[in-house]
Amino acid sequence: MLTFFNRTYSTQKVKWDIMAGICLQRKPVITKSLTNIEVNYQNILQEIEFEKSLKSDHELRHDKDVQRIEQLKKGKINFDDADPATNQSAQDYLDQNKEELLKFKLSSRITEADEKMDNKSLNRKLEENLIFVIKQKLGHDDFWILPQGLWTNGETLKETAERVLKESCGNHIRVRFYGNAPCGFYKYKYPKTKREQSNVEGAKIFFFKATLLDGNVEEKCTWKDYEWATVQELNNRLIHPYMKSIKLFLSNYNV
Amino acid sequence: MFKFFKSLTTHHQCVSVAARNLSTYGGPLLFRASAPMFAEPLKKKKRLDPQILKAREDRKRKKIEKSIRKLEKVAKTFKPIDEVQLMALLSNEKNIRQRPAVEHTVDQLENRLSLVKQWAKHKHDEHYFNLQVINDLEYSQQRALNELREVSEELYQAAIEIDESLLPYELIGPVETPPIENYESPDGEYIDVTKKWE
Repeated sequence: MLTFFNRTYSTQKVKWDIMAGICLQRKPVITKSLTNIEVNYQNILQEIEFEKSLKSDHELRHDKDVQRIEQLKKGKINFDDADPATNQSAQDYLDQNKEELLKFKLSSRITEADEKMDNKSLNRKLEENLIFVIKQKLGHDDFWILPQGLWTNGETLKETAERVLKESCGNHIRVRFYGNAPCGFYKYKYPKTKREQSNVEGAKIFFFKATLLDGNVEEKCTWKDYEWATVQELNNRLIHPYMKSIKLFLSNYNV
Repeated sequence: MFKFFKSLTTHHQCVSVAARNLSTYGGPLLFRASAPMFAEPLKKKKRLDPQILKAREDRKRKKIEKSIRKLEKVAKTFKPIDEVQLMALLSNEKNIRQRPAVEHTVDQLENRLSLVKQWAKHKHDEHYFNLQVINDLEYSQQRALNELREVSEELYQAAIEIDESLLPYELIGPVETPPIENYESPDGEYIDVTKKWE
């Protein structure tokens, strides 16, 4: 009797859905702001370098100017002797260059999207790695997840990932996948009613990393809401075990 | 043997009977025409004066020797490295260019020292964090591949194939300030100031 039971148990094969998940990233556009210690250390290095350096040509010129003005005050030389071409002092030259620099407007490191707290914009948080997350209905509840889709027979997983990307982000987008191999894995069980209905135990998701090169995502009816989130924001959005396995392949987490 | 003679005889007949349809092929003993070669008698070689020949060869050798000497001369002089060689002017002006020595208080020096220590610790932590990240990435991928292999060997084999589209890899790195939208850079003249050394 016991052996019979064992056999039935082992022959009962558990079926899993195979899925490809996509971790679409917008890489940082600008460099990270320096931390406190980095700023302090940079200042010290610059101080030391200045102390050890010799005076430059420009500084020599400035010293000469200062001497000349002193002599003029004492009345040792006349104004007329001076060559008009050399009348421009080093200080004048410096001021002129500074003025030119001020005229040139660099664009701000904090963008309009940052000020508006627009989580859907690609122009937000330029110094962070942004990840595309969507809000989708799974079962009865809405979840924030990375885009995912079922694998169909005859595809490799990479092909599935490419198809899923098109289905969830539209065609006006150019990305680069990082290789053929998945970079992460997560599995979850379906609710009991669904398990009994379809005889499928749950889903195994294989994640693929991709970088956004060009274009933007389109609104799709397969999901309800989307966001370009930093890793910290992901931590608040995603459920805990899911986040834990995703964090492993996000290289710049500090959560 | 008999067959051979037979063919020979019949061909003889052929030649004698119809002299105009002369067939040059058929039997092994019949004559064959070779392809025309357009040959002409060889030209007579001009005989040059051996002295002139010698002079010519000498000139050639001298030319090569001269270029070798030129190259050797260049090999002795090194390309100057501006960053390494000190300008004579600078060493003369060293006294003028010297900055007044700065006296630091003990507090300042201590402050610097402690910052250097803090910095070393910061870099150490950063390094360990990076190692941790690499470790996590490897672990995550290996776990995914192991699971995939359990699911299907075929998918696994497809996944570990090398993606050749990734090479050559081009990366446009992060910049200090974001690019200005619709910016047109002013035109300028291009002057090549690269020095040439021969």
